[in-house]
Amino acid sequence: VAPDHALGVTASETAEAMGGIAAVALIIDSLEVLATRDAYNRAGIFSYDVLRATRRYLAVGPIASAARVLYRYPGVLILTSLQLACGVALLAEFAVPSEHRIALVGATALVGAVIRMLLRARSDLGGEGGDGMLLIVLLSTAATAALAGSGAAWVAASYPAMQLLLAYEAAGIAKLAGAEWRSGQAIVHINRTMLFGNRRVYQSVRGRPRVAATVSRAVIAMECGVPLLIFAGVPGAWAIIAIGLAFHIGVAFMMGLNLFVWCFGSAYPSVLLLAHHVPHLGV
Amino acid sequence: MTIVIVWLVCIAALAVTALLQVQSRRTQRIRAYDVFDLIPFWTFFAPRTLSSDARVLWRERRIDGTLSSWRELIPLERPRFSAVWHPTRRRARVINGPEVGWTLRSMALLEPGDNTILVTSWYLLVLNMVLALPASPLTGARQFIIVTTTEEEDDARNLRPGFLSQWHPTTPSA
Repeated sequence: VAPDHALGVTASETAEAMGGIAAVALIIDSLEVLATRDAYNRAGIFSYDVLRATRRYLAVGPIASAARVLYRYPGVLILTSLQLACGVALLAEFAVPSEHRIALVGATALVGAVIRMLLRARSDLGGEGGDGMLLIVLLSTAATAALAGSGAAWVAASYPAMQLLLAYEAAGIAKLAGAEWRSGQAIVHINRTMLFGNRRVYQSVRGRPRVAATVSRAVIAMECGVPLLIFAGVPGAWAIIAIGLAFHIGVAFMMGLNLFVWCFGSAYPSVLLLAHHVPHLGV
Repeated sequence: MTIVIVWLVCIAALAVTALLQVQSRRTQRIRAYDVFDLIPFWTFFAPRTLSSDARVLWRERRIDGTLSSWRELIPLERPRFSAVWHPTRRRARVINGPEVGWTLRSMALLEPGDNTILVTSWYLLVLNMVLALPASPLTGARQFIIVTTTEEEDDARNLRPGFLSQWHPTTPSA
């Protein structure tokens, strides 16, 4: 099998698939920001007039005045609208003939990544883990497009998978290090909050320490164990995708973290590509 | 040659990401330089997780000295279909997030009369919102309080009061 051609799928096609799923995340995220645009004006929780004091380069210095135009209301909404346009374009590009598609997808993903980096440089308030994965996928898609046709393209296209496996492993180890998680109390604690909790889950685990501990340890085992499935090759990759998707959909319904499904889901095509190459890496 | 460079970049980025998952003052200082958020944080809700909601309530004092009831600044209720559409998620996270949330929670530990909090950006962020709400000519001043709530055994919400701000004079809306 040629390095850039696994399972009949090239690195470029993997990047296009990642871009297509990431597009959904970009569109939902942009529409959610636009739906809550009042939060970004002078009186909002994301008011630039206050937030610029939290970052020195925004408060004083050569870029402060340019940043003021870009980041104040309604400049921030223009940036968000551009992000929305990138999401729509990434989906529309599937209508382009395949031989020209990767260049367009790569350029659009790069613009999307730059916009997200600019928005993060404004403030990281309200940020979440899915944002990090989405940025990685967009940058990887752009890099794969730039390297299309070379032997290095599959490495760039596999990078989101490497970060995804690291994410699950790091989350599992961090939970294993927490006494609350080992005992199951964390499941009870999270679910009694309004922000991330679920009343039904809370009612099923409160006063039932064995049930809470079982659920908690199952999450830890899943997060620590799932990355190892990559060594089982392509069947292992499908297992990672099935378990990961079930987990993220469950989290979306129980915790209201709707973007995680799309942000982490956009890395799954990369998992398939990496899994095919693992046996050839001598690991 | 290109493939070696791409591998080196990927391995270096993975190594830095892995090292920066450790939470310490040193890693926090390094992360402060990552303004574009290129190095993700993967230890979701661990090793310690949230066990209560931090909430901001505000009230006003009218010029005749009477007080309004407390109202919530940023409601935490989730929309019915939050699994697919949850636009209020990010602003609700701010109050409970690692920066503002922890600062607001730590306000509750301040000694009475300690005014150091008044000059922090996070205090100003909340105060800016409270004072920017429409005010009538009868409104004299506003204050806010940080409370924490949890759902308890009897399905009631347990509320614990925390930091109470000073009164801040308002400007009547045009």
